[in-house]
Amino acid sequence: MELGKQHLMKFNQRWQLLGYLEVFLYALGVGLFAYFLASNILIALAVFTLALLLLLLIKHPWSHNLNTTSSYIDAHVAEASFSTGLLLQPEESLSNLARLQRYKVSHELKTRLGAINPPNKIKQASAVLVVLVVVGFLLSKLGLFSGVDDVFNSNSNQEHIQFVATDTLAIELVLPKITEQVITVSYPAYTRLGHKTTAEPNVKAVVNSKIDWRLQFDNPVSSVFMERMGESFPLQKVDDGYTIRQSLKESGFYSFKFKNEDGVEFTSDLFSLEAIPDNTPEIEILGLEQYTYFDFLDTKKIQLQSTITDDYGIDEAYIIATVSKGSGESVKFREEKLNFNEAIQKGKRNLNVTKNIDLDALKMEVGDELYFYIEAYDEKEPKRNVARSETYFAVIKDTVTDQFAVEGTLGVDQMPDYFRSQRQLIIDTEKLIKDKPTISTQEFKSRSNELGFDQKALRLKYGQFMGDESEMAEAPSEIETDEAGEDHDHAEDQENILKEYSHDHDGDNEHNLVPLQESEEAEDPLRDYLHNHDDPEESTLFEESLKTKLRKALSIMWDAELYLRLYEPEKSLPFQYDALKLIQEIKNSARIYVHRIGFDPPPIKEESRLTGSIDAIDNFRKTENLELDQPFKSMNKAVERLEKLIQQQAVFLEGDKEVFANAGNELAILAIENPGKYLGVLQGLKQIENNTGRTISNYKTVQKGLLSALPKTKQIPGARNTYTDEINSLFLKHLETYD
Amino acid sequence: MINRFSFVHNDVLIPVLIAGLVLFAIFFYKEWVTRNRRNFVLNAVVAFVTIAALVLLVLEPTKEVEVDDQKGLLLTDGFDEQQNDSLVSLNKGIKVLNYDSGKSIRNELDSLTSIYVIGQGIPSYDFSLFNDLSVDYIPKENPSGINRLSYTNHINLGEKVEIVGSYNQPIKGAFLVFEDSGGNGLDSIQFGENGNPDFSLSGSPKTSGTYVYQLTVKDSTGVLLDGNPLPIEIKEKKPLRVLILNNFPTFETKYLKNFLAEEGHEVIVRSQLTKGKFKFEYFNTSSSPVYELTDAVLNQFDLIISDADTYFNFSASLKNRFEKNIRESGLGVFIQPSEFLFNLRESSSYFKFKRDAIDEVQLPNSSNSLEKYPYDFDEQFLVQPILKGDGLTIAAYKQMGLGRVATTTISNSYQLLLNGSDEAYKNCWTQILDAIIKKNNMAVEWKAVSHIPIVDAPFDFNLYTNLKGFSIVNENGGLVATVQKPMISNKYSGIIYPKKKGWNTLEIESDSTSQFSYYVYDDVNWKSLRTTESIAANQKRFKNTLNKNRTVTNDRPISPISFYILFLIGIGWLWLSPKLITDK
Repeated sequence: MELGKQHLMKFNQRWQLLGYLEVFLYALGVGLFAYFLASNILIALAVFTLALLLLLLIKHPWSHNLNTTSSYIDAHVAEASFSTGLLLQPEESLSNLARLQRYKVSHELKTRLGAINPPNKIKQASAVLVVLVVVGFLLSKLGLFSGVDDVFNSNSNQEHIQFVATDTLAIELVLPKITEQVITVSYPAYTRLGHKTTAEPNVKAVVNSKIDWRLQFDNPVSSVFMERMGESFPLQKVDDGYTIRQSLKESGFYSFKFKNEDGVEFTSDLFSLEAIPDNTPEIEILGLEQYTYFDFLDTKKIQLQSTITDDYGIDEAYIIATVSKGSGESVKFREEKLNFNEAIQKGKRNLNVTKNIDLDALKMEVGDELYFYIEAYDEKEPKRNVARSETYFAVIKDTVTDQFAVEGTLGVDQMPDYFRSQRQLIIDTEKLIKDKPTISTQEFKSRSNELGFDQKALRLKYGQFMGDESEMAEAPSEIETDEAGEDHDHAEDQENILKEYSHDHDGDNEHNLVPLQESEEAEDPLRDYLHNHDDPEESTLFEESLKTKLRKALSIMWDAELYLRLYEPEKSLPFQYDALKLIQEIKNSARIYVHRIGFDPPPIKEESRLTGSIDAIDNFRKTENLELDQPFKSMNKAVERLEKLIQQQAVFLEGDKEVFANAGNELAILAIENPGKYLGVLQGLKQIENNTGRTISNYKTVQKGLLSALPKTKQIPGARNTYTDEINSLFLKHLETYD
Repeated sequence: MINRFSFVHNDVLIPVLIAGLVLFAIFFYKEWVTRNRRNFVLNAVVAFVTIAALVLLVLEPTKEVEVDDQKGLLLTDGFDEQQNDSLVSLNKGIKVLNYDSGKSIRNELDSLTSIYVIGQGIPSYDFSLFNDLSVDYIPKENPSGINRLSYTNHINLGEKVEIVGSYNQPIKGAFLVFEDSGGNGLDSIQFGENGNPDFSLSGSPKTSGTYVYQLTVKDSTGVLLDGNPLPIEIKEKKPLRVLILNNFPTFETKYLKNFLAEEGHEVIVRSQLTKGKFKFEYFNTSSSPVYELTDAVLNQFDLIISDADTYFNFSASLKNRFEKNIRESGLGVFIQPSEFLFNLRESSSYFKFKRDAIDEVQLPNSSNSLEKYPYDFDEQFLVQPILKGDGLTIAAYKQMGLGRVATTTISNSYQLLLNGSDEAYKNCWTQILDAIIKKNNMAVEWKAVSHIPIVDAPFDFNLYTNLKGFSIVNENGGLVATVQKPMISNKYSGIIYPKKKGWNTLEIESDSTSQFSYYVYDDVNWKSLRTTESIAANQKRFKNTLNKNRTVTNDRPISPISFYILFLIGIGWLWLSPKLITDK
C-alpha cells in the first residue's frame, strides 16, 4: 500500500530537482554573459553566485512538498480521481471505501506517473542560457565593452613599464612592449617579511633588501641595462626574459634602457627606489623617577618596568648597572650586566620586561650610587642597531659624612709642615744663632734639637731615593715623580712619612725596620733573572755620579744633624750649606736632561741685529682663482627657460635638452634624501627631455617642483645698473654745497 | 533761428544728386521725343520739382536749432540698475548712452548739455571727450578685493619682493597668498576677525629672469577664489672689482676678503708689511700690483675698502684724488673703523661721532650680537643709516656727489662667522656694501606710466636717455614714436596700444641690452583694483566740472511730409497730363 506514497515522493523529488536545475541554468547564463563582458573569471563567478542565490530566493524550489504534489497530480491525471490525498493519510484512519479507492489510485499512479513530468521551465531556461551565451560572445568579439575590460584590468596595464625611443625620428617603429614584469623584493631574513612580488616599479623596501627584476619583451631586444644613479648595470638573459638583482642600500632612482633589433635605443620612465631604514629599538621605562633616594633603613629595592619595541624584532636587551663607591679621587666604579626577570625572546617586536634591582644584593653601602640604563639590540644585519635608555640613578643617602675644611675665619692653613727643606733649615739655623743672646739656654737647646730632628727628617726623605737604611719595605712606586728632586713631599708620600714622624722617638722606627727587612729576605728564585725596579738598591734611576752625590749629601746631613744635636748650630751651618749645594746640583743635573733634547735656536747674527735694514725683504704675492660654487646652475636655467615656454615666448629648442638633462642630474642629487617627493619632477624633466611631455601643464609641474627644490638665494653684494640722470647728478652735487 | 541747412545723409549727397540729374535727363528726353508743344515746358518744370522732392526725401534735410537742456546718462561698467532707473524716471527725456571703449560716443555727447555718469567711470584716456560738458559723476561703491597695491617689479636676485596693499572687505578666514611662478607659496596672511584691510607680503625669488608671480586669494580650505598675476623682472647682480687697502693684515679683512672672493668677485688686497713693502693678494683676477693709486687705477674698481689709518694718512693730493673719484664717477669707499677714526675731526673724517659707551649691539633680524666701538653716529645732513640695531645706527654712508663713503661702528664682525652665523655675516656685509657700490651706467631708463596695461588700451611710458637720434622698436620690429619733452631734453614719452597679452618688449633699435619688458594683463585681471582706481580718478576729474549747462546747437531733420505731398502732386500731374491731351 505504501507503494503509492513512494511514487508520490519520487515525483516530488523530481519536481524539486528540476526546479533547482532551472535556477542553475539561469544563473549559469547570467554568469557566462558576465564573463564575456568582463573577461574576468572572478567577476563572472561572483555574478553567477549572486544570480544563483537571487533566483533561489525567488523560485524556492524546496517549497514543493507532498501536498502540492498530490494536488498537482489530482489536477493533471484523470485516473487519480482526485484521490491522491488518500495516499498521504494513514491507512488505518480510512473507511473501507476509501481504502479501496486508495488501492486503485496507487495502482494507477504506478503506471501513470512515469508518463507525466512535473511542471518545469527547463526549456525556457536553456533557451535563455543559449541566448545569453551567444549575445555575450558576440559582444566580447565586437569589443563593444572594451572599456569595461580596461576598467577591470587597468592596474596591470598602468604598472607595466612604458618605453620611449630616445631617438625621436624612430617613433614610427614598433615599440617592444613588456609582456611580463615581475619585481621580487626579498627582505632581509631577520625582518621575517619573506618575499614580495609586485609589478609596481616604484619600490619601497627595508634597507639591505634584495630586489629582483624580471622583464619579458614581446619583441627580441638586446643589451638591456638598468641605470641607477648614474651607473649602468646590465640585465642577464635568462630563458626568454631578462633579470637583474640589486641590493637596496640607499634611496635613489632607476630606469631601464635597451635596444631593439634595429639598434634603436629605448628608455623607460624614471622609477624610485626607496630604502626604509631599520629603526633602532625604542625603550620606555615606566613609572620610575630618574633619581631615587633611599635612607639606610629603607628596603632598598627598585621595581623596573620597561617596554622595548622595535620595527622588526629585538635581539637582546639587558640592564647595565654601575655602582660608584667613595668620593673625590678615591671613587671606584663597578659595572655589572643584569638580565631581566623574563627571558628575552629573540625576534619579538614588543617586549614587556621587569626587573627588581636590590641595592643590597649589589653590595651597596651608605653613600654609594647606582647608575643604570637599559641597552637593547635589534637583529639588523650586518650590524645590529643598538639603543640605550636614559640613565637612572639610585642613591643611598649618607648622613654622616664629614669633610676636612679649612675654616674660613682662621686665615691660616693649619696643616702641619712635615719637614723642612734644607734652605729653610739654614735660615732657621741662622736665625737661631742670631737669637742666641736673647733666648734662654733651655730654649736654645730645645730649638737646636728640633732643628736636628728636622735635618734628620730631610735626610731620611732623601735617603728614600737611595734605599738608604730606610724603614721602607719597598720604594714608593711614585719614585719617578719625585725624580725632580723636590725638597717637598708629595701627597702620596705623606702617609708613610707622617707615620714615621708621628712617633716620639725616631729610633723606634729603625728598630721596627729590622725585622721587617728580615722578613723581606725571602728567597726569590727568579731574582737573578729580573731587572727589579722595585728594589731601591738596584735602582737605575740615577746615573752613578748622581748616586754618589746623593750619598755624599746624606753623609753631610748626618754631620749637620750631629752638630745641631750637640747644640752647636754654628758648626752645623757649613755642613748644611754643603748639603744644600749638593742637593741643588742633583736637581740641576736632572734639569740638564730636559735641556739636552730641547730646541736649539739658530745663532743670532749679532752684526745685523736691530739695524732696521729691510733690503732683503720682498713684497709678497699670492694669486688665487676661486671657482664659484654654483651647484644649481642648470636648475636655475631650466626654471627660467620653462617660464619662457609657459608664457609662450619661446619654442623648445634642441639646445634646451641639455639644460633639462643637467637640471635632472642636479635635482637627482637633491632628491636622494627624499626620492618620493621629487620623483614626479624628475619624470617630468625626463619627459621634456625625450619629447613625451612637452606640454604647458607638464612645464608648470616641473617648474613648480624645481622652484620648491631650489635652496634659498644667497646674500651677496653686487653691482647694479642705473641710469644717471643729469638733473639728479646736479641735485646731488648741489646737495653737498649746502651741507 | 535758422542758420544752415544740412542733410542727415550728407555722405550720399553726390550720388543722389547725380541719380536725380540722370533721372531728370531721362524724363526730359522722353518728353522731348513725345513732345506736345503745349505742355512740354510745364511738364519739364513739374518733373524737375518732383525729382527734387524725391531727392530731398532721400537726403533728409536738417536745420540747426539751439538746445539748452538736453541731459544724458552714461552707463559705464558695473553701474547700478536702480540708479539707472531712478535717474531715467527723474529726468524726462534723458538720453541714455552705453559706454563702450570700442565705440565712439563723441557725436551723441555733442548734443548734450549735461550728463550723468554712473558705474565705475570712464577710463582716463577718454576724459578729453568730456572737456566742455557738465558731468555729474555718481560713483559706485568700491568693489570687494584688492583696491590698493604697490610692489617692486624690478629687483635684483637676492633682494626681496615687497608687496604692500589693502584688501577691501576681505572674507574672514581667507588667505592672501603670494606665489611664485610655479605656484609655491612664498608668503601669506589670513584675514582675521578685526577686518584690517592692509597687508604686506614679501618673498625672495630664487632665480633670475622674467616671471609671472601670482597673488591669490584662497579660502580656509585652500580653494582658489581669485588670482591675479604679478609680473616681476629679476636681474642678477654683476660681480664686483674690489680693492682692499690695509695698513697691516687683520682678521676682519681676512674674512671679508674670503667672503667676497668666494662669491666670485675680483678682489685685490694690499696690506702693508713694512715700509714700502706690501703683501698683495689677487682673487679671481690677474696679478698686477697696485702701488700708485692714480685716477685710472681708482676707476677700475667698484668699491675700495680701506682701514682708517691708511685712508686718513694719505697725502692731501691722494685724498683729493679719491674724493674726486667718489664725487664724479660714483666710486664707493668703505672705511674700516679704528679708534683713530673716531678721534679724528669731523672735517677730515667725513663722519661725526659721539661717545655712547655701548660695547655690544644686536643685529637687525638676527639673534646675534656683536662687539662695537663705544661710539655712535651723530646726526648729519648727508649721512644716511644703512644698518640699524637696537635703535642705533651701526653702519652709515655719506653721500658725496655721485659716490658714497661708508663706515661702521662694528668692531669684529668676523665673530659672526666663528659663531657659525654665516647667514648673518653675509646679510650684514651685503647690506653695507650694496649701499655704496658704484652703479653701472645704463644708457636708457624706461618707466611705465600706466601700471596695469591691457590689450587695446593705451600704454603710456617714459624714456630717459642721453642718446640722440635713436628709434624705438617693439617686439615685432615695428617702430614706436616718442615725444621729447621740451624742458627736459632727456625725457621722452610715448603711447602704444599692446596687441597681445603677456610679456611685450620695447627696445632701442640695435641695442638689445636696453630691452624693456612690460606685461600686458588680461581684461579680467585686477578687476577690483582697476575699478577702484577708475572710481577715484573719475571722482577727482569730475569734482570741479562745469556747473553751467552749455547750449548746444542741434540739427533737427525737417519734416519730410511736405516733400511727400509735393512729390505726389508732381507725379500725379505727370500721370494726368498725357491723358488730358489724348482725350482732346
